[in-house]
Amino acid sequence: MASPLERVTNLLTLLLETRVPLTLKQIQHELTGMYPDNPVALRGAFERDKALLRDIGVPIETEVLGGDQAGETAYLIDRDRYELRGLQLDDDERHALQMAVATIRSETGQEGVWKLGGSALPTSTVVANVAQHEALPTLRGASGARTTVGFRYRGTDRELDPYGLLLREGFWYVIGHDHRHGEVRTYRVDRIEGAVTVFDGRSFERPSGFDVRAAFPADAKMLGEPEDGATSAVVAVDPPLASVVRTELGDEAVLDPASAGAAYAGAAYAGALSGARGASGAVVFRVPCANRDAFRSWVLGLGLHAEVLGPPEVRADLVSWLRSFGDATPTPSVAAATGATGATGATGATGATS
Amino acid sequence: MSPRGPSPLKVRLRRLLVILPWLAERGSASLAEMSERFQISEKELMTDLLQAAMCGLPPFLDELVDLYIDDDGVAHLGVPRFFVRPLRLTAPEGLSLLIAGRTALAMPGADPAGPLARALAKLEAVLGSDGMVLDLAQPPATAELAAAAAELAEVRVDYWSASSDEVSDRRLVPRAVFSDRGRWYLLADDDRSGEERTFRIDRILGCERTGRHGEPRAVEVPTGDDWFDDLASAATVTLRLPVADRWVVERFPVRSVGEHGDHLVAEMAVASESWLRELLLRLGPATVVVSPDEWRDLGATSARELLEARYAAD
Repeated sequence: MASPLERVTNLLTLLLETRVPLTLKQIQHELTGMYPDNPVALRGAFERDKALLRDIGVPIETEVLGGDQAGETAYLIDRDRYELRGLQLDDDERHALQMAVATIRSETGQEGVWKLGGSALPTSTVVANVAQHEALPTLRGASGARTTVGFRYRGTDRELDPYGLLLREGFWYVIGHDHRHGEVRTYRVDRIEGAVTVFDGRSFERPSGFDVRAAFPADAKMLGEPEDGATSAVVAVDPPLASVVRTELGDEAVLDPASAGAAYAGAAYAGALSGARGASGAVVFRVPCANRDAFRSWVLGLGLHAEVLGPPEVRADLVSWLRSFGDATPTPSVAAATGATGATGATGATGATS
Repeated sequence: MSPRGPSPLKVRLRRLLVILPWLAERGSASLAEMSERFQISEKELMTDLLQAAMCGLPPFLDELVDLYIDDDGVAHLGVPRFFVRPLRLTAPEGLSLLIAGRTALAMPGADPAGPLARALAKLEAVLGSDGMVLDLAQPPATAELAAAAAELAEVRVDYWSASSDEVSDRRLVPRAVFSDRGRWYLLADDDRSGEERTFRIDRILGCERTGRHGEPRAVEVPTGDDWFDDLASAATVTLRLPVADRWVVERFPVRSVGEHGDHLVAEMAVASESWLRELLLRLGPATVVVSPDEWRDLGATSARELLEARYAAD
């Protein structure tokens, strides 16, 4: 009896070689002595081999026959679809791609590198831990082919025209037109429940000029409804965190203390700059705050080193948030009662998804 | 990468289907070279190649793969009829290559017209278009530190530490830079502790080379969730938080999490008390520290401190 590797290799070769689709009976006949004679065992062994081949990416076509073999299924592999073609990389290109795969340390990527003639991945001094998710290849394919997909998300079935995919802050998002809601929605890919269905034949047009980045809020602090009130706040940040914040927000977010002071003259601002902390080189920033939860998270992350100078209602928001700690008795019943008002988090993950 | 015992059939077949075309192109290669290149033991390689040589179909019995291995451990492949080209890329493989290419191209110093960009263009031509965007913005110091890591060049940095809340002057030998969940970190030998430490690059305020160099050694760059747990002596806190704050258990590594109606109970690794303080302030009073006792009032105390320091007059 042939070894399993030998048998499946022979099956692969036979299906590549044949010009006409072969039925299981014909396959058994061609691969003399390799498959069991018992029909049930034969079918089981063949199904396992077929599943294995498909699993590694071998495109096995099936055809249901007519005539005197009516109803029987026959199998074949289209060599043109089997072989990797049209991807001729020069040596330097192959090397660069291999280094790139080393950066994300992907075992799946390693398989691809081998197929392209590369070797085992070297270790890299730059590493990006990029999340991989089993729904991603399907979503990417559907997005490229402009085909509508369906999936389950938070217990509800969704139908989406996937305009694009975005990796941000370590999470993958799929962005597109949601049929049920009739508007563009964003879903986190790792929260999709189960498999993604591709509705072949249901195609869509992506709006011209659609920009995935622009469709997704660039900054969690900008999320939310602008009509809620102030969309930006003035925040003083002490050194050394001032340079960290300057790196994050950019030089254009830095305000001239004099003009910032004029805007909030008389309020706590004066105190902030004249106080010991302020005098030691605090930098004043304009910070987006349309999403008040995300803004609050961000400013609290700076601890004692930051102070919201204004506008007054944004400052008052923060003060009442801090005071609420004193009001609360830390018991489970209180926790449950106030649960719905919890912070959204700076990732934008909760706020951006529906 | 080195599994114990024989590999599963699937792995062996997949590997055979990349080794045979590679060998077909060269005619012959030593087992040692193939073993290294394809991450397989010589013994297993020999077994699989010999089995491939046994394959055959009428009328090509035993000559499907015309292969023999000589006494010097060199495999020779005759004129191949099958497996001349590798199997096409699977969708996940194609995706991984695209993600890798786009990630590396977004790195500091990547040449937008270099070999990687050309490889990526060819890959995109074969795999089809997509609307996939990777946002991998890095703090400005990342490029410099990556270059220093490649050369093992020691750097002097000013680092703001959240746990001690002070800026320290340190000498570091960078070993690797890595990103995780959107943040960039430096793995380096730290002169202060004499140990390998992880630093957040956005908290490195100034950086210059000292002219000295470190000795090469193997380093293990942490993957995804495990690195938080690797922190020496990381304490555990048990939090009870509203379901609406689920992002916490998704963003930070948790040791266990349970769902009880409208709230979650999560055991989390605590890198430092300051980290926990910040988290509790952000989450608000609806989140309760279940244990340990010394942190039960941490959120309320921190809120009071902040009110007194910054908003006393309000």
